[in-house]
Formats: sequence, structure tokens, C-alpha cells
Amino acid sequence: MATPPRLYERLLSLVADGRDREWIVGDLREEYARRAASDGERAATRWYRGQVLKAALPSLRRRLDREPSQDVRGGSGGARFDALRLDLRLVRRQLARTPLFTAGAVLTLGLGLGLATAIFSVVNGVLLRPLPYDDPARLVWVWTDLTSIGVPRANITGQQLPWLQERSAAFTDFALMRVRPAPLVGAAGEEPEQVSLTRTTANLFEMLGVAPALGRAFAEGEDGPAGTDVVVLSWGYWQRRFGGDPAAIGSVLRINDAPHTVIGVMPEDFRFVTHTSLGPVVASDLWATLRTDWENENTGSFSYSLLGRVRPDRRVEAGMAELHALGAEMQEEFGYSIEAGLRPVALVPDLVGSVRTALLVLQAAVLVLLVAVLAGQAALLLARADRRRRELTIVRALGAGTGDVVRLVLLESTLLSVAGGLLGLGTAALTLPRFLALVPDSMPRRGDIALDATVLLAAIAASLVIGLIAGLLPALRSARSGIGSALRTLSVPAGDGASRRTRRALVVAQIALSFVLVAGTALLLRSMLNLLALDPGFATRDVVTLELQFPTQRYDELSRSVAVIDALRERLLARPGVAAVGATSALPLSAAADQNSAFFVGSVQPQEAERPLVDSYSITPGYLEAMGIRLMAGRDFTSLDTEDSAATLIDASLAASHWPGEDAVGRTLLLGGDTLTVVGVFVQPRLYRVDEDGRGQVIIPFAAGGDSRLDVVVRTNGTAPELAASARAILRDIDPLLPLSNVSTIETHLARALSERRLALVLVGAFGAVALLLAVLGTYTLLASTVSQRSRELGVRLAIGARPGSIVSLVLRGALGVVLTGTAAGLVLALGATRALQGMLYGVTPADPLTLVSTALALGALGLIAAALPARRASRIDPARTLREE
Amino acid sequence: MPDDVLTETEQLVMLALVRLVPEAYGVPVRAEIEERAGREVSLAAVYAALDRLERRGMVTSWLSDPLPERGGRARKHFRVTPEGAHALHEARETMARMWSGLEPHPDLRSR
Repeated sequence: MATPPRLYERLLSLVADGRDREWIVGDLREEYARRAASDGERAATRWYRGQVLKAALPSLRRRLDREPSQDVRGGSGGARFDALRLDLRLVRRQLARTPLFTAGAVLTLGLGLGLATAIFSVVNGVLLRPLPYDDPARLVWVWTDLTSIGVPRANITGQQLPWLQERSAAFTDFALMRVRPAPLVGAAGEEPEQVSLTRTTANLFEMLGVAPALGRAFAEGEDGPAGTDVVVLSWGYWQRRFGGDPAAIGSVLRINDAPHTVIGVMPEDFRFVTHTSLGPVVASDLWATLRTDWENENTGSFSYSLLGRVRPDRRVEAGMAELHALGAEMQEEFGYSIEAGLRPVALVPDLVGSVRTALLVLQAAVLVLLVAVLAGQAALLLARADRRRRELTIVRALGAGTGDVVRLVLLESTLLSVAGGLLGLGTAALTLPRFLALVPDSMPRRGDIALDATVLLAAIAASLVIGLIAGLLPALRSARSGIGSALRTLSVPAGDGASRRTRRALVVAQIALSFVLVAGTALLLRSMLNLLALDPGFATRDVVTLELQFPTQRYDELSRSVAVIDALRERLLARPGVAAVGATSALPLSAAADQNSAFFVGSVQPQEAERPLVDSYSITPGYLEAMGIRLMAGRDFTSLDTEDSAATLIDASLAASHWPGEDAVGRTLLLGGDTLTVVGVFVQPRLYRVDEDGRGQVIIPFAAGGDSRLDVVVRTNGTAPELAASARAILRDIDPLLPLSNVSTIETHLARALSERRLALVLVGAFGAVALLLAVLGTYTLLASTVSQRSRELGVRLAIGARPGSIVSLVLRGALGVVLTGTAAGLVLALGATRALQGMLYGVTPADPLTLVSTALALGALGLIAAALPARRASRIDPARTLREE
Repeated sequence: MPDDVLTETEQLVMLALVRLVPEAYGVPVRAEIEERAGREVSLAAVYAALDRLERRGMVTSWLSDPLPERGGRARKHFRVTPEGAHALHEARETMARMWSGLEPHPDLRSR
């Protein structure tokens, strides 16, 4: 008697509704035999195939609806569904049926994409978004090149402007400017406020190609000695002082005791920063016209920044080359005593130059993270595809084409990743403000960082790409496997060897990638700890600093400023809790010192030709004590040290390198045009970076060469606001119009100096954490599905007497293989990748063995912990049940 | 759908059961519907309908012993219950009421 082909019969028993399976199969076998006898086996088989297909449809639909189909009317198997709607519904229901898988996939995607989006918005804002100027690529900063005395970027003298305007053919124009803090008073009797003021030639805004949002920009002739005192406000300052009131136009502000009329307000998105060769970038609150007679100033006064715009019909490189050539002529023209040239630097790359490397490192970390997310997603989907193999095979056997299956799997993957992407946007919106809080104020273009359209598009594109690529592997696998072979193995619902190998490889990749990020985090963390453990040469707590600005018109003699400081110091010392008070022109880590060439008389170093550059600044008596700077030899300044005493302090490194083995106290050095006698030697407080300065320091008494701006430093066990209140009260008695600003603590200064490192640490750390989570999840999923695939085998082993312990170790051995391979691959990757961090490391090498080994151990331990749960489950398989299922 | 109302497929299946007593199981039911009503019905659809009818108490079923011609599988026989017969009759009466007074044109009959 003829029987139906086994393949179809087997298929039928799979697709037929469980309750009716036995009689349906039986009935069809009977009728097959009857038809084979009357119509031949061929026709019978054709008929049988049709019956199998029809049997599957109601049962499939019933699975979808989780209720018996109502739709057998007409007997044709029901109405046709619109393909995509059916697909979407199927995918949605499948996802809803496995909430743990769905939540896990969406959450990890959301976390990873969210972090990546937040970081990308930083990179986008700082590096990618064009500056809001007209053709910013044509803007060029012009510096004086004084490399001969160790200053590659010195400022420009006023005389250079008319000379350059006359000689240059490649530039449309040049603007001269200078940024300074200035005391500002709005109305009589008001407490003065310190503002950042840029004084510029009248053509600046026209050159940038930006018009004010309100009022007008400077007009020709408003600059120079014959000009007028007019001022343009930044949007932020307009909001702050005038609350955004348009009536601000026409009002008068007293800047440096001179009345200035407000003529305009710049647009909200206008940003313009000037930066000095050594100091941080400075944004301005206000812009006023430059009123000095720059054309006739001293040729040695390098005190301006100069910005030029290359003509539209010339190439930027041609403009730069012209400046280099003009620089060579300049030496002769101005008769400089030292070798000087011109150094043009394009504005855009210069602006972000300081953070470019750090941002590119972060961007690379983002890519590593995204690849880890992608690998994790692919591994999850592959595991799922293996579990659903039976179902997909049936769908295919029933005549769904390869394309349908691929579409189904890709649809699911894409649906997941789009959901993850949306969650990621939410995460980014939540985390970005927290990142921004860590971003140092000095970060160029900090204000341009936002989740803008570019970022949104990139995030959506990234999630789609991840969805498609992650889904491609399982989709192709399900499509490629032959139906026949798949059906033969259907009784063992499992991934075959190839699929398991792919998934193992993906998990290995995840572990390796997270290794790189974790190792990077560990290296940055150790650098941070090393830096915090360093002795920066000054007290790191109990110090409050206050900035004081003397208006130059009233304080035209230094003795007046000295008298104010002395009185303030005396009365502050009388306050409870105040241990020491002093003042300096250059706080630690402020980069505010001047650079001068010094000549050490009787030095063992060859210095005639080189004239080593030193950082020089001034302090008042009591400053060393207040700041906790240690004196190694000699004495501190006293109130008797004025210009006449010609006393100076030098740091121990200068003393040791110039007068080794000798007492530096009493020796002579030349600084600028002055001959000074060393009265004391101190341990250098860091002026630039916590770790290293690179230049020696020479200090002169404030009374001998002070500036109009200084920082008062108080050693106290009180808080900064308390102290500021005391100081304001005292100053009201001495001079009520003196502005006190920037009340801060030494901790804040330190934190600011380390802020870029802290930012990198937090960001890379966050990436590391997410990547680690993905790796653990990946390891867990891999082993859990391996255990469920092998449960029959493991159950048999248990049934014939294997001890649960041996089953646990069997599973753990499998895990160990994956974890060890991943860690080894990660180690190799990390050895190459961490080199990118070189510039951000301190006291630890990129290939630090201790860090790498502990990272490996930590990852290994986590991997085994992830494997513990599946291993336990394996040991608890019920052998009796396994045997029954056989 | 109210519990005592039968779909057309259900009516066809039940009428086949009535005609086929005592050999009422999947294969002949399907064949009967195909022959008499000229309808192509799949076995799965037959069983889906029988399944619903059984849960509504309109048919009952019993299993035969395993049979060699079925590869050692049992056969599931069905019989219409009094409730089923009542519902079937009700369906017929409903149709009759709807038809009463209407005389189809001869042209309709010929198709």
C-alpha cells in the first residue's frame, strides 16, 4: 500500500494543530493510499502537498491569534493577508511572546546607541558643525613667530596692521583685537562687575560676515584715538544684565570708568573666541572699539590678536604663503632685535586643535562600542533564530520563498533596533546635560553641542544599519539551510555546528571589544589617581581665591593698589579662621604668568645665545604661606621689598640647573631690563598642568612690578561665600567701586585643570560599562541556549549516572573557552588601541601589564559568573523527563 | 457569533456526518462534501469545524483502535448530538423562513 512521502508527512505532523494531529495524519494517509491507487502516486502526492499546506494555515493563524481560528468559512483556508501587515503582526506578536529577549535587546541597544549619540553630538558640535561665520575657512589668525626665543605664537604689534593692510594682496582685510577683563558699572553706586571685553577695530563683524540681531555693528571711524566709546553686547550678556530688553540699545555702561553707549546685540548663536598663545580660549561678554593709537605704538608691544580674511578669488594656502613671505620682510622693516616672522594659522582647525585628538579618541571609542552593540545584537538574533528554526523551516517548506524568510527576520531585527534607537535618543537627551556638566568651560565650541538634526539623523541611520547588519546573519542562515536537512533534524530543535561557531565568534568579539574599552578606562583611571596623588607644589585644600581688578584710570600708581591689598590683608587676617592672606598675578594652574627671557649670572648652562624663557609673575608678602608654597632657602618677600630692593625668588629647579651645588641666595639674574638679587628659593607650584610645567619660575614683589589684575589668596577653614562676604564688606570701606569677582576655591581650580581628563575618564568608562554589560549578556545567552540545545544529551548523561558537578564543569569549560579566546583577542587589540590614549595617560604606559592583567582577570571572572546560571540549570535537568521525551 | 448559529461549513460537516453514520470520520466527511456539495474542503478545515462543534456540544467523538492502514494511528469518529440536530434543523428553518414567499427565477436555477 502506498504511503505519503515521509518528508511531507513529517511536515504535516509539525504544522497540524496539536489536538487533531493524530487523526489528520491518519486520515490523510488513508486517503493518500486510495488516491494513489486510483490516480497514481504523483497525483496523490500533489494532492497531499496541498493538504499539508492547507493544514498549516489555520494552525499558523491560530498560533498568531492564540485562539482557534474563526476563519474556515468557505474552506479555502481563509482570506489572504496583506503580506507586510501579516509580517509586522507576526513579528510584533513574536516579540511580545518573548518579553525578556525583546526587553534585553531594546535596552542594550538603547543604552549603547544613547551613549554613542550623546558623544557624537559633542563631536558634531565641536568638530563637524560649521562655524556661524560667512565662509569661515577663509579666516586666518596671524601671529608673530618668535620661535627664536621659544614663543612660536606671539601677539602682533599695532604697527603691523597698517603695514599688512598696505602690503598684502591676498587678504581683503585684517582686524586687530585684544581681550581683557574690565570692571563695568551700570549705574552710579552699583557694585562693579568684572566682564570679559574685546576691543577691536571697527571692521571685525563685517569681516566675520555677521550682523547684530538688534541695533547696529561698529561704523567706520568709531575706532582709533578719534573714535567713540560704543559697545556691542553678546546675547548672553544682554539677557543677563538687561533681561533681553530692547531698550538696552542707547543705554550707557561705564567700562573702566569711561561711559560707553550700547549700540547693538549680537545674535544668540554668534560665538567668537580669541585665544592667547598660552592661555585658554576666551569668549567675550562685550565688544568695544579699540581706542588706542595702534599705528604709533611702541614696536616692541606685542599685545594684539590679528584676524585676516583671504580674498574670495585667492586660495587660502596662497594667503598663508603671502604672510610667510611678508614675515621675512618684516624683520627688516621694523628692525626687531630678535629673529621674528609671521605665523598664519587657519581659524577653524586652530579653534578645535586642542581637543581634536581627545574627541577623535572618543569617536573611536564610540565606534568600538557600536561594533560591540552590533555583535551583541547579531548574537542575540542568531540565538533566537536557532530557537525559531523549526518555525522558519515550516514557513519555508510551506512555500514561503527565501525572500520571505529573510524579510521576516530582517523586519524583526530592524523593528528591534529602531525601538532601541528611539530609546537611545531618549537616553542621549537625558545623558547629554550630564556630560555637558563635565565638559570644561574652556572646551572650544562648548555652546554648539546639542542634539541637532545631524545628530538625530546619524542616530537613526546607525540604528537602522545595526538592525540590518545584525539581522542579515541570522536571515541568511535561515535562508541557506536546506529544508530537507532542517526537517530531518527537527526532532532536535537546535542550531547546528556552524551557527554555534558563528555565535561563539560574535561573543568572542564582544568580549574582545569590551576588553579594549575596559582596559582604556582602567588606564585613564590610574592616570587620574596618579595625578591626584602628585604634589602640585601648593596646598590643595582650605584655600579661597578672589579676583581683584583695579581700574587703571584711578589706580594709575602701583602704590595705591599696594595700599588696598595691605589694608585688605590686615583686616582679613583679623577674621576668625583666617590663617594667611596674600595675592598673586598668576594663580597655580591659571596659565596667567608672563614669559620673559632671563639671564642667570654665573650659570653653568650655555645661555648667551638662548636666553632661557621663564614664567614670571608677582606676589605680595604672605602669598607663599597662604598658597602653601614651600620655601627651600632664603626668605619670603616683606613689605620692604619694593622696586628699589630688586629682590626676586626663583624656583628650586632653576637654582639646581643654573647654580648646581651652590647657594642660589644672593646670586644675580637679569629679567627683562632689570638686575635682580635672589633672596629665596621655592618649590615650584604648577602654573599650567598638574603634572608638569616645563619652564622655571621667577617671582618679583607685587610692589615692584604689579599688574592691574590680581588674585587674593586666603588660607582659611571657612567657606568661600563666607570669605567673599567678609572681603566685600571690607572693600566697601576701602573703595566701594572695586570689583571683586571669580570667588573660588583651590579645589575648583584643581578640578578644572583635570576636567578634560575626568571627562575622558567618565566617557570611556561609561562605554566600558555598556560594552561589559553586552559581553556578559552575550556570554550568558550563548551558554543558556547551548544548555537548552543540549538538554537532551545532558539529561541522558545524568540519567546514566553523571554527577551534576561534572555537568556544571562541562558547561563552564565551554564558557572558559569563549572567555579566554575573547580576552586573548582583546589583549592583542588593546595593545594597539590604547596607544591612542598615550597623550591622556600619566604615570602609566599604554601597555601597562598590571592594568591589562587585572582587566583580563576581571573579564574572565565576569564571564564565568555569566556562565554560572546556565551551568546550574544544566545540572538540574530532570533525567526522567528527558527519557520520557525520547 | 451566537452559540447555536452554524456557519455554512459547520452545516455541511454535520449533514455529512448524518449521512455517513456509522463511517463518520475525516476522510469520508471530506469526500462527501466534495461529492455532494462540489466544495473543495481541506481536512484541516473539517477538523477545525468539528473541533468547534464538539466544544459547543453539537457533535461527540470516540476513538477507534489503532489501524495498520493508518500507520498504527487511531481514527476519530463523530456523531451528531440531539443539540446538534436541533441547531441543524433551526438553521434549515431559518433559511426556509427567509425563502418563504420568494420564487427564484428559472434562469437562476439553471446555473
